[in-house]
Amino acid sequence: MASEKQLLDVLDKIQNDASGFIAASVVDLDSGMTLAVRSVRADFDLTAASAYNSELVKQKLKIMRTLGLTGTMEDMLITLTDQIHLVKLVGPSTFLYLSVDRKQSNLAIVRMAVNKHVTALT
Amino acid sequence: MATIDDSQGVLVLRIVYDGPAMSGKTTTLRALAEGVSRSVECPEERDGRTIFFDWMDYVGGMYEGRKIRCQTISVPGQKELRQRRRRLLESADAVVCVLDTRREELDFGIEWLRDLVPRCRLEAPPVGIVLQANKRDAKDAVPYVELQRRVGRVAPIAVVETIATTSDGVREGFVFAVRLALDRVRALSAEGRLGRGAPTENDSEALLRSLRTVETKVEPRRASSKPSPPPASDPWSTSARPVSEPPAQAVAGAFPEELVFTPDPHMPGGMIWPPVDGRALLHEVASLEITPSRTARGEWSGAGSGWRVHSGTRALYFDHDDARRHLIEWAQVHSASAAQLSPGRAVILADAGSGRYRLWQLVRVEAALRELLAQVEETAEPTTAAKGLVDVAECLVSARAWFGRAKAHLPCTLWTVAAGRSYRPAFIGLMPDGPTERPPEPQGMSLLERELMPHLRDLRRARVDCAEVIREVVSLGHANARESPARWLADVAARLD
Repeated sequence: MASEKQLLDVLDKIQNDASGFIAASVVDLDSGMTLAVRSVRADFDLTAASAYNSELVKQKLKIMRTLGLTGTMEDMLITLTDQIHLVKLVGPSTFLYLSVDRKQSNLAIVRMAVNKHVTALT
Repeated sequence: MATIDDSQGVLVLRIVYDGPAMSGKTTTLRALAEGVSRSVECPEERDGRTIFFDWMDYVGGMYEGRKIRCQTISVPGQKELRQRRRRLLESADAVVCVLDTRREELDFGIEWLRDLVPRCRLEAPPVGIVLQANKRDAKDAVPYVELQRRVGRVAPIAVVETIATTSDGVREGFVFAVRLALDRVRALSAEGRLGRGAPTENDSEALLRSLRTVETKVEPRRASSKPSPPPASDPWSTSARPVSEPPAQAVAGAFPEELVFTPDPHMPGGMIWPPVDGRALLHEVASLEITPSRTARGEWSGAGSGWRVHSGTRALYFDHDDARRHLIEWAQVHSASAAQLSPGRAVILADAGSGRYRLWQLVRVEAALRELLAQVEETAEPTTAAKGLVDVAECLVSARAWFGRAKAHLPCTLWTVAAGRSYRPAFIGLMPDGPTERPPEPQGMSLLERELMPHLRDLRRARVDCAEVIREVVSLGHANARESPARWLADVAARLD
């Protein structure tokens, strides 16, 4: 597991590469606790967002098990009218959560920014 | 103390930062608080030293749809405040043990950890520990590999390296502790023992009040002329020595006949180990009306309805404090050997009349290897019978190796090993209360010869096809490595005259 400093470095790099960056965190899937956070918006409750997204990932994994799907979940994308949220699994018990402003970014940029730096987390 | 507070929709956990004085507990908590934009409350801090505790409340993460509220506290590390530390640790759902890992401080830290581990394991489910190896930026910090090796000798504990002054690794350690606490919560929930309702100590002021109340109650007791029993379920007593010797012999005198032990689930706290589960077991045994009787050797023993009660000849005490001390020692021995012992055990300190106390053990009866062997002996098919014999031999040998790692001496026989194959065989016998030194216990082929040779002889008398069974055993043995239970059994069987 990377140290908090390394995690923050990765989040900084993603922040630089993802235009419209709002917030990002590295989250422990089991507890929903954040291991590292970066946010540019004081009104964005990243702690709560990370926690609820951990439930989302757990539910999706449960669905996959129920359906007997043997593939591995790579990421989850949620498109809102004004934001894009990307959940990228970076290990069996950790995921990266990223939120960007949809007006200033697009899915390709978000994915590229995450995939470019996420290998440092594994 | 984990509890589900439905009024707030949260699961409340308590993460306790323990460790020697000046190891960096408060600095850690402050670094953590800064990272999550919270503040630390330090009631009655004196010259930067924690007198009661440091407190940080943090809501984050999720457990089954509920937010997790962490009451994160650090204990006072000073020796003279150990009673406070003890009370705070008792309420922990997970403990982060902060150690100064500079070379000159590590020995003390390891001793601290050695003291902490059995305390956390007295609970069922046990309280998880994370070792926060602090001050890693110091020039003389012990290398990580050496640190891990030394910690590993105490117990298998996760080590997280930190520099609390720069907050490096602090959050990782905290999140790991929360995960351990959630494991415990799941176990409590599965057993229907997870608390409900708002925590009694809902903020730092309530905790401070609670600590003060307990301390003011304790003071008059000390002043009392009549010694009162130690507090309930107190395996922390400072008088407890970390030794594993069984009860010492009390001097017998002219006393009236002892009171016969009657399992009573309402007996006072502090007389039962384990504190919570022990009482539940006692409740179960109380309904069975088991009456122990005295054997010719002076032991007390009783059995029935799946339970055994036993008290050795040396387990009578003429002084309450002495008896309590031995109860605690036995609790420590049980805890230290918990991995080897079958579940369903309790140690009870019961009134024996005329100011005497007797230490009893209650053990749930489990199927022994001997019963498995009896089934094997009755198996009609020689090949199956031979395979069954090899299975029994393998169980015995693996149990011998596993029991050898226990703190207590656990004799390995057909009657003391649980039936059923497991990489962790369970000891199902009574905890021996003999001398502390371990008597020599055979292993390998000698063990199989001692335990199985008489049964092989019986087999020869009982079965007309015994020669065929033995041939199969020998054949199975020779298909295995030279130093294997199957081969040893084959060698033992070959000696059958």
